[in-house]
Amino acid sequence: MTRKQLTSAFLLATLAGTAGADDVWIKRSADVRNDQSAAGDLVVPVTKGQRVQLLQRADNWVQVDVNGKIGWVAADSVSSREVKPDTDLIGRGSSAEMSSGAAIKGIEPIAGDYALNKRLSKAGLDEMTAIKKSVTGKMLKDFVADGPIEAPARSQK
Amino acid sequence: MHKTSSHRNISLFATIALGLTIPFNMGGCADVTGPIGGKFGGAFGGSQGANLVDTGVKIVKNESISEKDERTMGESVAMAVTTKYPVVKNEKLNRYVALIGLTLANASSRPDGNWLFAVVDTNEVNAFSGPDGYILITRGLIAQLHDEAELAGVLAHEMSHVLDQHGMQAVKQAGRANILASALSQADQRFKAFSEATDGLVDAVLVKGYGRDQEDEADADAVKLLLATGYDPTSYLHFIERMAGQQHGNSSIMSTHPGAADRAERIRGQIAALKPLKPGAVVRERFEASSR
Repeated sequence: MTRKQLTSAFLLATLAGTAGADDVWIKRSADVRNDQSAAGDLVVPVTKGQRVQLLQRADNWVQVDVNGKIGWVAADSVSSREVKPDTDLIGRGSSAEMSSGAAIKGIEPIAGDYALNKRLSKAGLDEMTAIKKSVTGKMLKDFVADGPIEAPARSQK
Repeated sequence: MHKTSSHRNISLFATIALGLTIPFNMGGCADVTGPIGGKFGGAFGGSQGANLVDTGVKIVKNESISEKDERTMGESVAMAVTTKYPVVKNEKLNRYVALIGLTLANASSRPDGNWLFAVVDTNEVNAFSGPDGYILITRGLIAQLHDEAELAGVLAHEMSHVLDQHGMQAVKQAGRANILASALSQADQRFKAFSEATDGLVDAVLVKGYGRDQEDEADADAVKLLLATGYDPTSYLHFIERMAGQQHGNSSIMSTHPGAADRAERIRGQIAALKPLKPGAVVRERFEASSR
């Protein structure tokens, strides 16, 4: 092997190892979770077009590394081809420029403005989030086993 | 069943909107003035959904509606509903519904979605779904149910509306029908567009409901999801049949939203065609212990 060939081989190996050979793109917004379960704890949310590192596949889930945060996302949510991000048309924090909606924590400022304008309470939304957080992955597994709710086979809806 | 990302982006001269559904209203139009000034009513698979094309706010822009936009509208709708109908102060019941919903989510194409569930405190017999996974069911509807599989069927139907993007599809049609220009270059313009879209859809969809085809699609996908999860879809059929019976016996019930009998017939045919290998779980005792 010539010196030039060796150099090329080295470069290829380096690229494969560090420059995205296992990278995938998020094709729809999703919550990366600490478990292969809809009830898994949120690790980090990801958005369409985001590039993440694929670590492994397991059933209908894939394990990804999102800037050092590792968790599971549905296999349906990633693509090996580049996906372009959307442009947020309305929910881009726009109304922070115009009112106090941004002061309502946990929602987009424009939704905060809407809530203020319509005298809507955010309490119900917070309660829905709290209900979700009160369910753990283990709780869900026990719930399914206790039913028992037995899926005939793993299938996609 | 879940539409691909290309379906999630209502691109094109974009139309902004969202939807809620009430496929299980047994009292017809509830005619309750909502917190946003509209009227909250019900749609039991009625044929009025076609009217949606006249109600959405249309915004012309060569951009897509992003999933973030969709979630932002969804959370606004959830606030509108839960301001009108507060979440019940029953931790056990809310968690029970969430456990069923998340069990269904795990068998769906979006187990990593933003699924949120709650029971709201009203005697009205309704269920709601907002874009991006906000699922609400009334205490009044749960009182009508006999087992966990029936409750799973109702939740699966609402989740299917979300998975099938029915609200966005309806407004996409509206965008083709009548386009209103808006540059959306200023914050106040964006807020106005957002506010009008949210107002219009909360009001219009709650009153008029989805079209028959979309209700049928949600029923069909609910049956598939129940089977994939391991619940008995026959329970869902039984619930729809009971609603049809009440409709038959009392002309005032669901008089503006007919069709339960037809829906039951289609669900029955679908279950027969799919030929489940085993009946699936019904789970009556846990339902009795957890839902009252």
